[in-house]
This record gives sequence, structure tokens and C-alpha cells, in this order.
Amino acid sequence: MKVSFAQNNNTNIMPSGYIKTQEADDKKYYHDDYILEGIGAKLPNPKRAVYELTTYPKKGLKGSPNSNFYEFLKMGKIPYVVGSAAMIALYCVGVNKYNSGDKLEALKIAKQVGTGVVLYAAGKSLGGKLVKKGVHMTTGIDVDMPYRKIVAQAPEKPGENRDSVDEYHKVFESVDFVNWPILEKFGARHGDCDKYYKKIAKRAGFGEDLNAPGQTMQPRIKSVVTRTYAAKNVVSYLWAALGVALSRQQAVVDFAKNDTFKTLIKNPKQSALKLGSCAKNAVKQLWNGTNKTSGILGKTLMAGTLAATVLGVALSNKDFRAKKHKSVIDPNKPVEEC
Amino acid sequence: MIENVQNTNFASKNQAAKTSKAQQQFMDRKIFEAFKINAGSKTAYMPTGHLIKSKGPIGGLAVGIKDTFSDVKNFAGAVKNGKSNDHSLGRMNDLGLKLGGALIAGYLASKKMAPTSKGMEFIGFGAFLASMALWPRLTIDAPIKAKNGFNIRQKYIDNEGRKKEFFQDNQYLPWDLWSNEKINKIADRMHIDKNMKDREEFTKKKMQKIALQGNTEWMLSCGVGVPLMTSMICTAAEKPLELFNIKRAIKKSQKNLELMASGNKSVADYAHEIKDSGLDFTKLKGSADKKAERIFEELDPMKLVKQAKDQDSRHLIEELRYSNSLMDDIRQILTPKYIDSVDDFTTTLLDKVFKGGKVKSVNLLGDTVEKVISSDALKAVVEKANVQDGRNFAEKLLEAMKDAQLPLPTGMGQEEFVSGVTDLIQQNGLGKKSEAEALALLSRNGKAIKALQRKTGKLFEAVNSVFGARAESAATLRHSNFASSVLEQTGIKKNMALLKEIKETSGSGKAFDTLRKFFSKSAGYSDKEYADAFIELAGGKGPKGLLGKKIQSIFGYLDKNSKSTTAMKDALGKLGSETASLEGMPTLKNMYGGGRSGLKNIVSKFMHEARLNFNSTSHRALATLDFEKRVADSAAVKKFVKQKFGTADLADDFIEIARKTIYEGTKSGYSSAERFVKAGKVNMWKEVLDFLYNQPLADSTKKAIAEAAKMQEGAGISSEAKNIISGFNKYRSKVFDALKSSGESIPSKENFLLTGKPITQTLQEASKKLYNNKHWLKIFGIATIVAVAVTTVATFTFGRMKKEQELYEQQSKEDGNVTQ
Repeated sequence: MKVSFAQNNNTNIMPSGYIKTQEADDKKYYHDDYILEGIGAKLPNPKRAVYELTTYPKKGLKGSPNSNFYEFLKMGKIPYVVGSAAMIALYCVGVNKYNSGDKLEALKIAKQVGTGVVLYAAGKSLGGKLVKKGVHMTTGIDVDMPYRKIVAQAPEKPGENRDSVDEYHKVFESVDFVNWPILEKFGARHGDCDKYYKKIAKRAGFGEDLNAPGQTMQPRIKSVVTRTYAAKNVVSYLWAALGVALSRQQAVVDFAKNDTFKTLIKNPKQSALKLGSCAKNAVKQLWNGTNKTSGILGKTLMAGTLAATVLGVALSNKDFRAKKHKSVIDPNKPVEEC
Repeated sequence: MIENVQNTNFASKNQAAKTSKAQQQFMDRKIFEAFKINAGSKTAYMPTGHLIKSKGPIGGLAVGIKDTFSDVKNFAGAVKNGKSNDHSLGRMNDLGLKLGGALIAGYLASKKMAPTSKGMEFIGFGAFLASMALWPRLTIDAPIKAKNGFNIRQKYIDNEGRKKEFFQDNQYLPWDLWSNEKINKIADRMHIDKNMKDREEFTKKKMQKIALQGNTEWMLSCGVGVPLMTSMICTAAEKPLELFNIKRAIKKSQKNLELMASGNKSVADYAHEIKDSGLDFTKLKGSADKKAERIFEELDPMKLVKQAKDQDSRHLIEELRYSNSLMDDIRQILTPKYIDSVDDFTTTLLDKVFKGGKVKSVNLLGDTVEKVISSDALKAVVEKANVQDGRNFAEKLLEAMKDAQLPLPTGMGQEEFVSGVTDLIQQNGLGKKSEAEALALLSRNGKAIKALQRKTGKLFEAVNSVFGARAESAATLRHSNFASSVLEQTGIKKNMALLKEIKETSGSGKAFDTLRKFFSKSAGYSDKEYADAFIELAGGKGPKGLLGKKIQSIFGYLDKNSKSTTAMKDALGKLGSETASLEGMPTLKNMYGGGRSGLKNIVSKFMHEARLNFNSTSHRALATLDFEKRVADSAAVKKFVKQKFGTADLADDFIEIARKTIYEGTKSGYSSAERFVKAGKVNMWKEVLDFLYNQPLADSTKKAIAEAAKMQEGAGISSEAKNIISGFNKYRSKVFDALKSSGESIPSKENFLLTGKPITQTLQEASKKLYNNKHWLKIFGIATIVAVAVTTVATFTFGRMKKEQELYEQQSKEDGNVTQ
């Protein structure tokens, strides 16, 4: 079967050459992959998450030939969610392991583990976001820039129709195969193929008149993305460790002991104040430590994590900016024809 | 010549600068054209990718460690050069996970007190990493390999030398790495028709499907499996780690003791001494009191304990009242005085001024007689005068002598005495040291005191590691082992329903009933069986199994004649002798000496009490068994009651009170009068005590004791059990004397320890703990088994391609027909 890749904005032609029904019309740019813009693009999408967490395992367990690496990676969230719940359950049931006298202490530990798991996840997410946000602010490169990809599905059974599914990728998710064309399509949509490169080039100090901004900027963007990922992968776990360390401070323990979820919801204003003072005290307690070793470790952990975050952003900026040097070529001099 | 070269160099440089842009472009074009001509003759590199053989768990661990190092290298490279690839970046995530995990374990361990809890943080982290790797390998990969003959976690090295998992990406499988031979072997294992057309293709499809299903199952199951597996590993590791830590702490402290006793210093000692060389009090300013406080702050013995945060050590230091004595001595040295050593001065005064102490005095009859002055009286006078107030010391001494009505030396006037004393001080250097000298002395002493404190700290650590009440010591282990042994003998250990009932009953009612049944049953045995039960209750052969051996070796340190006890005594002696170098610190010297409140006495008392504590608990259990044996003969009890109270009617009440006392009696129980009064009748305290501890033992008990005495240590009886049984009679008389003399008042600590822990209480506490452990293990043990079973069984359903297989087979047949 011949597959047409003709681009025609007026008809709903899929890249695979199949014509879609009218329902596709209400989706903008349905016919092609496109970068997602707007505030909502990066917000968590519960509906999509539920779809991913239910459909992908089903496909995988069935052994569908359409199950791909993207789906496998998406399933990687499952162990985090299930594992965290299992860990909290282990400790909560473990509370009964103790005599009545020790039960309170055990419950305290169970609550600590619960807060620990939550703060681990929060810390990990925050750490990664801080590095990425820092790089975004300093270079203009958003490593999380999302795009929607349409993936054609092979028929799984004889006689089955071909279909397509949406996948939500990131432009820079692979440093080996950055999706440069989509950046250009994005530019084209806004009137200039090189729009994105020009924007970054300007941030990097190359001005606006580069001959081939793509050619100049691609290697620089790639090195920024590589360093950002390397830094993020380590820094996010430092923040996770910081989260767990904070969860073991007396202030957090007391907070978890005195307040239940219900009471927090009832008085949101008071809860916010309490949470604030709890966070402040926890940081203080972590800094001071309960003994000499824990004090030293607490200080090292806090200072080290902050330093690593700043360093991660700073290193990601390395080699990004245009070097200021005197050009030997005079751009104003007319070029001699050979 | 040189000039020439320089000229040419300069010329060429100039030339180069002048080389036009056009020339540069011409050169580039030349290179490109040369490449274009040769391009056709170039071929791609030969592929170098290959599959890797699995190296097994130990080899895999080594490879894992090696890979982690290369991850670190890749990370450094990525940060430095900004170049990396998706594979390496993905692995950096694992690197971050390991780093973060190690930091968490390290931080949490720093907040834990007991070495086992500290160690468990790291074991937990290690077990977590191990479980993450082991879970899919054991429950998914292994069964799939067993059934289908291939590993779904098969690794390969790609052309660029990167190690990857073959089946990671379902839609990118470089099948050219597999030989047809290998694929066919797997096909044989899968029982695929040998004559099938495209057999390899079909096998590959099947492998792909199985791998995808396996990987999906991995993602779905590890969230449950890994925490469960981690907790199981940790549960299994806790006891051995605890024993290891107890023994390690004892051994380490023993080594320190030996070093102390032999006078050799440990490396740590040297390190501290270098640090202490800066201890200098000579530059202190302020009043004498302030100085004393500053110096004391520096030398405060409680500093040691605060650092160790060890309750037992704190207790020992407080008992020693070390702080007070140190402060006394410091104040003494710093207090302004006329002379330093009152003793020395008095001796010299008697010798030189009083010429042997002869004085003339007037007796009651008015006669002048010559007598010898008492040196004690003289010393008291000197001490009284020896308080600095700015006046002349000799004049003050004279005044003090007048007040005490002590006569002057024979033939000496007041003026002569004053000048004699002044000369004496000057000539013999007996005067008070200057303040600078006092501070220098304290600096010197300070260094010695610090060394002494470190050694004391080490001594206490050694004592505590064996006898301390802390969570991990030989004594604590002995207590928990006794409780566990009672649980086993009473048959409660395996009876979950009974454990639950004991746990849930408030008070000790259920534990009492269970124990009573057990003891009554044992009392009904024949002599031989009774002896066995008696010996078993005392400890029997001791803890069994591999861990049991370790436990027994730890118990060895508790023995009175053990090497460790000798080492402690030697170290104590050495410490006492080392205080001799302390100048002007008599109180501190006393502390380290053999005085009643001295260190030696306190340490030996501590050890004695700890031994008494666990021995009495065992002895009391034996006394309970003997009591039931004697009570079984009701005629004998009635005879006893009639003899004591004049009537046998009280026998039942008497037995009930006595039984409650021996099973449940606590410190307050022994001292509360109402306990021994039944329904407003007579107080039976003395009689109960007599019956329990003073009346002759049952014949069977006597025989059992004799039997135990005959047995060889190690053959059927442990040395601990032998010690307990041989000390039983002595224990009874001791406890009888102690309780009788203390009457119904609150007993002293020693007497309290003698009564031992009530066996009902021991049983109840141990049951609760055991039930909870078992209950927890039951839930999560079963959950683990179910998770493993479900995951494993599911793998056997993977790779079903019946329809496709039929299609392929049909195709083969059709093709076969065509060729025929």
C-alpha cells in the first residue's frame, strides 16, 4: 500500500495516508505532531494518567506488537505509586507489632514513614523542577517542552483496521534524537521556521542576524539539555533525601501527630500557618541536629543540596553563550566575487 | 643563521595572516573533493555488537559495582563536555537513586542510638537495592528461562560499546545479534514444530511477546514485591546483626581494657593527647571562683557521658560523684592560703621548732610538766590558721594556738615562735604557691584528668557492653533469651490463639493460668521427667542452632570468672595507680582508689547487681516449680498450716496466697500487708515466706539438683544452667533472710533484685512481643508468598500464540504441498 506524506492543511490526511473521520476536525492540527502550547500543556492531566495506567499495562500483558518503549517508560510510574502505598502499609500494619506502651512510638514511626514517602516524592519532583526551571530562566531552553505525537498502530489481528494513538512526548526527551523538525514546524506555525532557534540565539548573545540559527544553536542546545538531564538526575535525589531528612524532624513529627487530614481541611487558613511554622522549625531542627553527627550531616545535606542545585544550573549554562571576541571578519566589507 | 630563521618565521606568519578567505575556501573544497572521490571506496565499520553471557548473582554484583563506577565517569564526562547519550543519562538516574539512598540511610542512622538500628538503616537500603534487582530476576526471569530457555533480561553490547538490555524496547530488537542456532535451540525448548517454515521468525515473535509480557509484569508487580521482599530480608537480618553488634561492642571494649591494663595506649588515645596539649589554664582571668568554674567546665566528667548519651554510663558517673570531688580539688588548689601542704608543714614544724614535740605545760595541780604535743592537735591548729586574710601567718598561728590552749615549745617566747615559724617557711619552701603556679599545676593535672576520663569512659563502655541495661548488651540478651525459652517450654510459642489471648488479657490472669497449668503438669511428672523439666527451666543445653552458638558465646562474658571480668579488674587497678601522678587532688585520688564510694566498689556493685537480676529471675522460676511439686502433696501442706496456725482449714487460702506470691509477687507485692491477709483473717506473710524459701525442697527437686551436678558441662547442660542450679539453695536462704529482715517495708535495691522478675510478667511481655511479631510476619509473610506465587505462575501463561502458530504451520504445509 502506498503511503502518502503529502501535507495539506485543508484535508484531514494522516501522515500514514489514512483518512480520518469528521470527529478529527474538532482537534486542532490533528493531522500532524505538534508542540503543545499554553499554561495547561504541562499541568498534570488526570484523565490522561488514568488512560495511560490502564491501557498500557493491558497492552503489555497481552503482548501487543504496538506496545512500545514510550508505554514501557510510562508504566514506570506504577511501581512508584504502588510501592509507596505498600511501604506505608507495611509500617501501619507494623504498628500492631508493638506492646501498648510502644504502640504510640510505632505509630509515630509509621506516620514518619508516611510523611517520609510523601516528602521523598515531593523533594524529588521539586529538585528536578528547580534545575529545569533554572535552566529555562537562564537560557530560555525548556527541556520539558511537550509535544503530541500521533503513532500509527499496526493491526493486531487479521482483518483489523489500522488506527492511531496519541503519545505525549517531550521535544528534548532524547539527546540522541532530538526532534528538531518539530521545532521548525512550530516556528512555521508562527511564521518563521527558525523562530525557536532565533529566540535561543538571542538569549545566548548571538544577536538576531545569524545566517543559519539552527546550525549554530543545535549543538549548544544539545549540550545544555545533556547537562541539565545529568544534573537533574542527581540533584532530584538530593532533594528527595532532604525531604526524608525533614520528615524525621520533631516539628514534622508533632505536626503529623496532632493534625489529621480532616482537621487540616476544616481550617485551611490556620493549617497553612501551621504548615509554614512546621516547615520553618523543621529546617531549623535539621540544621542543628539532635547530636553532633546528625547536625553535621543535616548541615551538609542542606547546604550541599542547595549548592548542587545552583551548580547544576550554572554548569548547564556552560558553553552556551557566544564568546565575546573580536571578529577577524568584517561583516561590512563587500565580499569579492571569485 | 638564527636571525634568518626568525625572519622566515615572521615572514610565514605574516603570510598566513595575509592568506585570503578565498584561499581557505579553496583548501576546504580540495579536501571535500578528495573525500567525494574516495567516498565510494569506504564501507561502514563491521558490526561489533554482541550478546553478553550472564555472570550469576556474585559475578553480577561485581559487574554492577563496576558499572556504577563507569556511571560516575559518564556523569563527570556529561557535565564536563556536555556530551552524552540517552542510555548513559538513563543510568545516571540510577546513580542518583543510589546516592540519595545512601544519604538517607546515613542521615537516619545518625539519629539512631543503638548500633543495630543504625546498621538496619543501611541494611534496609542495601536490601531495597538488592530486592529491586532480585525481584524480577527470581519471580519473572527465572521461571521464564526455565520454561522457554531464554533470559528476558539478556544484555548486549552495542556497536558503540554501551551495555543495554535486548528486550527493553519492544519495537527495536537487533535480532542479528542472535545466531540461528541459538534461536533454534530456544525453539526446541518451546516445542515449536521442527519443520515449520520460518521457524526462527516465529520463535523471535514469540520471544518478543514473552519479553514484553514479562517486562510489563515486572512494572506491575515490583511495587508490591520489592517492599515486601525488603522487609523480609530486614526481618531475617535483624537478629544476626544484633548478635554481631553485641559481640563486636564487647570485643572492642575488651581490647581497650587490655590496652589500658597493659599500660599501652590505643591509637585514639594518642590522637586525643595531641589535641589536649593545648589545655592551658594559666591565662584564665577573673575571680578564683570563676576560674574554678571555667576549669571544671573544661574537665567536667559528664561531658564524656553527654557525648556517649549512654544512660548506664551516666548512672555510673553519677554514682561515683566524680563531679563533686573534682570541683572540691580544683577549689582547694585555687583557694588563697599560706601554705600548700598542711601535713608537710606540721611535720617540719614539730621536728624543727618543737624539737620533737616536747612542750612544757602547767597541769591541774599547778605543776609545770613536760609532755609531747599531739601532731593531730597541731595539725588542726595549722589548718585553722591557714586561711588567707592578709595578716602574717606566724602571728595567726600563734593566735590559733592560744585559742586551742596549746603551749609554746619549751623555752620559746611568743616573738621567738613567730620569727621561728617565718624562718621555717622561707627556709624549707613550704609557702603557698603563687596563683600562676596553681594554674600551671591545674593545667598539668588537667591533661592527666582528661586521659583518666577517657580511660574511665572506656571502662564504663566495657562494663555496659556486658552488664548494661541498654538495648544491646549481654545481660539484656540473657533476659530476652530466658523469656523466649519459657515461651518455648510452656508450648505457647507455637500456639497463636493462646498468645493472642495472653496479649489481650489485661493483667496477668491468663499468663498466670497458663503458667500454673505448665508448672502443675511438670510437678506431676516422674522424678526423671521432673529433673529434665527442672534443668530445662534453668537453661538446659542453652540456646540452640547457629545463632544459639553465638548467643552462648556472648553469655560467656557474663561469667564471674570470665576473661572479661578479670580484664575489668586489671584495668580498674591500673586506673587507681595512675591517679598517683595527680598532685594536690586528694579527693579525686580517693574516688579512683578502693574507698567505699570509689570506682572499684561501684563497678563491682554494678556487675553484681546485673548478675543478681538475671540469676534471680531464673532462680525464682525454679522455686515456682519446686513450690508446685510440694503443694501437690496436700497432706504435707495441711500439716504445715496446722502447725503454724493451729488449724488445717486455712490450707487452701494459704496455698492461694503463696502461689500468687511466688508467681506474681513484685517489689510492692512483697511489701504490701493486705496481700497476705485472706478475707480479714490472719496475716500469713511470715509463714508464706517460710514455706516458699525456708522449708526443705521437694525430694524430686533435690534429686534434680543432684542430677544436674553430676552432668558434664556441654553434655545436656550449659554452664549457665549449671551455675543457676548450683546456686539455687544459696539463693533461697539469701532471699529468705533478706525478706524476713526487711519485713513488710519497701526492700532495698539488692533485696528487690533478689526477688527477681515475676515469671507471669516475663511471660506476658514476651508473649505480646512474640504475638505481634508473628502476627506481622503472618500477614506479610503470606502476602510475600502470594505475590511471589502469582507473579511466577503468571509467567507460565506468557507467549501464547496459538492462532499465529496454526497460521505458520498451515503455511508450512501449503508450501510443502506446492514443492511436492
